[in-house]
Formats: sequence, C-alpha cells, structure tokens
Amino acid sequence: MSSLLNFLAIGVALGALYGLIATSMGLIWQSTKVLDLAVGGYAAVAGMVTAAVGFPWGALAGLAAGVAASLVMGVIFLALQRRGVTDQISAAFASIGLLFASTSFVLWYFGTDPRYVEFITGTWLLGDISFSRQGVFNVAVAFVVVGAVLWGMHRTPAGEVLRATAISPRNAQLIGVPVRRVQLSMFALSGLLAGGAGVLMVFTRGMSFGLGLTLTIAAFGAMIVFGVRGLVTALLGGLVIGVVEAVGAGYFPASVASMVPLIFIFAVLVSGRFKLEGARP
Amino acid sequence: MRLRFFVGATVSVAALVLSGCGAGTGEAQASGNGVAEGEPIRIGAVLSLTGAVAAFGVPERAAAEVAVDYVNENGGVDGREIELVVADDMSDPTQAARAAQRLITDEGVIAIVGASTGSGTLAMAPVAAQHGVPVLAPNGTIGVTDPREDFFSYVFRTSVSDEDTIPALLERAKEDGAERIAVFYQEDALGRFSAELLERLDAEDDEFEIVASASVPLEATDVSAQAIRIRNAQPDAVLMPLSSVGVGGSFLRTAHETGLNVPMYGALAVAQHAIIDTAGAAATENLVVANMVNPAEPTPAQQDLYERIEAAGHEPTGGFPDLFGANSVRVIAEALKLADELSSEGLREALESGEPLEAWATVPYSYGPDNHDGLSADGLVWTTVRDGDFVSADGNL
Repeated sequence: MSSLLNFLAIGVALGALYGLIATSMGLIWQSTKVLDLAVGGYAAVAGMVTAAVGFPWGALAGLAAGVAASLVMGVIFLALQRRGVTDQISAAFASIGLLFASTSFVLWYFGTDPRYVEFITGTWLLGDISFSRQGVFNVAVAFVVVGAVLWGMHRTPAGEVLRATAISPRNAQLIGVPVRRVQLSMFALSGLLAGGAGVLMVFTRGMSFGLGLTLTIAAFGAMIVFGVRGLVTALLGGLVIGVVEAVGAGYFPASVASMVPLIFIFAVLVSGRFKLEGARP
Repeated sequence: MRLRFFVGATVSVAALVLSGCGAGTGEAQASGNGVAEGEPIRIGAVLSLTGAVAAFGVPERAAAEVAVDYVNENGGVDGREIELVVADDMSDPTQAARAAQRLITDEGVIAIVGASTGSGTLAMAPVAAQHGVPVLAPNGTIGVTDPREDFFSYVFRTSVSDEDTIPALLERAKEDGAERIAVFYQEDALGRFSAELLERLDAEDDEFEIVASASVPLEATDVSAQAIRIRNAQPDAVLMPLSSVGVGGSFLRTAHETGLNVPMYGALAVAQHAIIDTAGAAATENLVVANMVNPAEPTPAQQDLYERIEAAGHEPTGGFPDLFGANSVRVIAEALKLADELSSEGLREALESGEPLEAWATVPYSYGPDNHDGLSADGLVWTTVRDGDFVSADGNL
C-alpha cells in the first residue's frame, strides 16, 4: 500500500509539470484554435537556458527564453493568417516544425549533455511515504500559476479582452481590439507557462535536448483527456497522466508505462471528442 | 473504393516486405565494394547526430574524423588516404538501415562505422551483410555479434560486449559483498539483452539473487517510481546496464534522495562526466564504473587522442564515445594494411585473421572467424567518483 501511495505522490509531482505544459497548449487552443505542438520545445529551451545561466538568474532567463520561443510560433501563426492560411492543420504542422527546430537548436547550442540545476533538495517523510520537496514545490507552483491565469482572464479588463478575442476575433476587431497583438500576447503567456514547466523540470529531473517531443506528447494527452474543456481540466489531465505513468512505472515495464499518454490520446481521438478543423470528417 | 484501395495497398506492401525478407535470407550475399585505382578509401559512418542518443553520435563523429586525420597523417593505408562519409540516423534504427543502404550503394563505402546504438546496428547489419560490407560496431549490445544471426560474418564489435561487462559488474558487486542485487536498465536492445543475461546468471548462480528489476525508456521524464520500487526491495547493490547519462544521473540523484545509498555499478557509457553533473557529486560517491579508459589517468596514446580532438575544436567526453568512434576507424585502417586487397571482402578477411590491431584501447583488438568481439573484459578499468571527478577504483580486472 505504501508503495502505491509513493507512486501516487511521484505521479502528482510529475503530472503538475505535464499539466502546466498542457495548460499552455490549452490556452493557445482556446484563444486561437491552434494546436501548438511546439510547447514541449518551449519547455526544453527554457530548461536548458536556465541550466546554462545558472541559479538564480537562470530561472528568469529560462522563462524569457520560453516566451521568446513561443513568440516565434505566434509570428508564424500571424504570418499564416496574413497569407490566408487559416486552417488548423497548417498551423499544427508549422508547430511540429518549430518543435523539431527548437530541438535542433538546443542540440546545436547547448550540446548533447543533459543539464540539471539543484534548487530544492531532500524529501519529507509521512509514514512510509516520501514527498520530494521539489515535487511539492512544483505542484504548488502549478496550481498557483494556473489559478493566477484564470483569475487574470476572468477578473481583469485585460482578461476580458483576451476572452473576447478568443470568442470572435472579427467582432473583437470591430470594437477596436488590437487582435493580432492580443493573440501574440497569448502566445507569450503560453510560453511563460511552458517555460515555467521547463524551469521546474531542470530543477527536478534535469533537462536534455530530446525531451521536447516527450513533453509535447504528454501535454497533448493531458489537454484532451477530459475533452479540452478548459485550463483546469488541462492541469487535472496532467495529474492523471502523471499518476498513471508513475504507477505504471512502479508496477510494469517501462515500455508499458511510456505508452500511457499515447493510450489516452488514442482513446480520446477514437471517441471523436477532439477534432481539428480542416481535417476530413 | 477506399476499402479496395486500402486492401490493395496492404497486399502490395506485404508482398514487398516478403520479397525483401527473401532477398535477405535466401539469396547469396554480395561481395561488397572495392576501391578504384587512385581513389581514396571510402569508409561510411552511420551515427546518431540528432535525436535521443546524439550524446553518443556527436562525439563519435568528432573522434572518427580525428582518427581519419591521424591515419592519413601517418601514411594512410599503404599510401592511400581514407575518407569518411557520415550519415545521421536521427537515433532511429529504421533510418540507420536506410543510411547504410545509401552509403553502400550511392557512396561506395567499403566498411561502415556504427551505429551509435545497438538497436541501430541490429537494424542496419542485415543490409550491410546483404551487400557484403563489414560493420565496425561501437556497441556493447550482446546481440550485434550473435553467431546465430545471418549477418554475423560482417559485424565486428569495437566496444566490449555486455556479455563480458555484465558478468564483470556482477562479479565486482559480489566481491564487494552484495547478495541481493537490483537491476535498473533502459528499454532498448542494450538494456533488455543485459537484463536477460542477468536473469540467466541468476538462475545458474546461488550466490546472489535479483530482488528487483525496473526499466526506463531513454527519454523518461521521471525515474522516481523506479527508484522507489528498487529501494523497497532493499538491495545490497544496483546494476545499471544503461547508456543514457541523463536517465542514469536522474536515477542516481533520486535514489540518493530516497535513501537508496548502496553501490551502483555501471559500464562504459556511464563513465561520462555528464552523469556527475546530472546526479550531483554526492549521489555519485557510490558509483563504480567499468571503463575502457581511466579519465584521470589516460594512457599516453589516449591523451594524444584527446588532445587531437580538442585541437579539432571539439570537447572530448573522456569516455567511450570518443574512444570507440576513433577505434572503429583505426581498426579498419590497421586491418586494411594487412588485407590482400583494398575491398570490403579483403577487409573482412583481414579482420578475421586474428592479428592484433592497435588502436587507442588499453589492449589491441583481435578478431577471429568465430569471435567478432575484438576486446574482452581484460581491457576494462574500474573507476569511481571522488570530489566530482572520475578516479581509478583500483587496477585492471
């Protein structure tokens, strides 16, 4: 029993990071209907920059790098819009290209060695259950950050503008909202969330150049597991995937555990609860 | 209509696959490539320059290029220069097979260095064997020199086989007093072959018991569950047949944090400074690594190799990627000097001659018709970590 509780604790800590990245993906999906599959790349870039700069300023530099990376996707999105390419498939493919480009950039600039930055060490023991202090910190940060984003979107004038743009960019433009600037700021906020996850990841597991794709897959699974309803469900989806992955890793071979996000994605896609516009019916 | 197209396409693909299998198993193997008069000797390298295991492929390429320069500066092969043609398999075994095909048929290479992983080598070996081109494999993965495989005649290992290193790790752990042993391995050909070997050894040997076994994918985001699982089994020691220093470092740190402070044994790939950076110095104090080089005290020849790599603008890893990337090229060159003709078949026969082939390992390579593992555990050096650096644990085995 204590083993299971230990695996649950590990899964929640891991899932909080997945959830943060899923929230980033969900934010872009809700506001622009773009499936941004480069979010794992933002996290990887942020993590590697954090490690390269070192503690404490590395965290800020990492967040800035995450935002910069996501703004590249924002610019690509706006460029596609300007050229009249408005289907979601094209934007999704562009984001895949950016994901691989970011992986190549990290490999070229930072090299092949994995990076780790020590921040919060040690564990708390509750009976037989050990809680990583960094893991607890990660969970707290994820909930606070997602709560702050929700509060900002629902309780501030800027949030109203964001939501209005998300609901109907054309109507928002008619009432004077600078839609492109607002959409670009959504990408920046998305980069901040994914970058934050990358920073926490480098404090927790460490970051390596190839993790971007893994994080994207986990985040996509987290975002759609409850049916793409909102940011909270994206965060909770991350916790679910993290828990199932950790419990799977605790009791089954790694090949089974690593399939968990893919199984979720498969199940949701087969159920027809998630569909890209422009895709064949 | 769609269904008919789908069925037709499936049947066509199946026919292609089956015809490909027939070509690989039933037809006579080609005699490989030769070297035209006045042309340089072309050697291919299929390495993982991008993707999950680029950590090996990138330094392997740098070292292989340095080895090519070294051979050419020292007279080449009977006055003929060698030339390296590098292909990136993107850490994907399927791409490794395609890259090998291209290097052999389009570039006319007489031998191939690679792949960076045992999985990649296992994928491209049938292709190379079908064309009669030798592969110099810098992998420990047991299966790459399995005599039962059709490609056996054409694959020559330049690393130490895990069939040697795993028993060596086990013996070392037993000598250090371990009876309850846990295994933490990565989910690929290297890890699985090693885990299976340990299970066989466990069945034959009453002096130890495998009390837990946990595996991890190469790009795992977290290994805490595996660390807890192993800790709960209360082992005396952990054997780590893995090559990913990211995963290895993460495991060492997590194990240390969760109170699993027992000796951890790894080999070759684990002996990279990145594992200390990832795990932290405190978590690596219990690490014991069988290596081909003592990073603190490399041989003069190894030191010269590292200086050449630095002079070429690369940073030596100080571990096995440098050594085996360079050794693979050097072994080809040394064998070609003994060959009756500058061709794939001439190289293969020279490699099997049993003559000692000098490279940058602590002992010369030596292959035979029934033995394609050029090195044995005799060449292993035991190292551990003190004050954040690899140091010698003791003498040779």
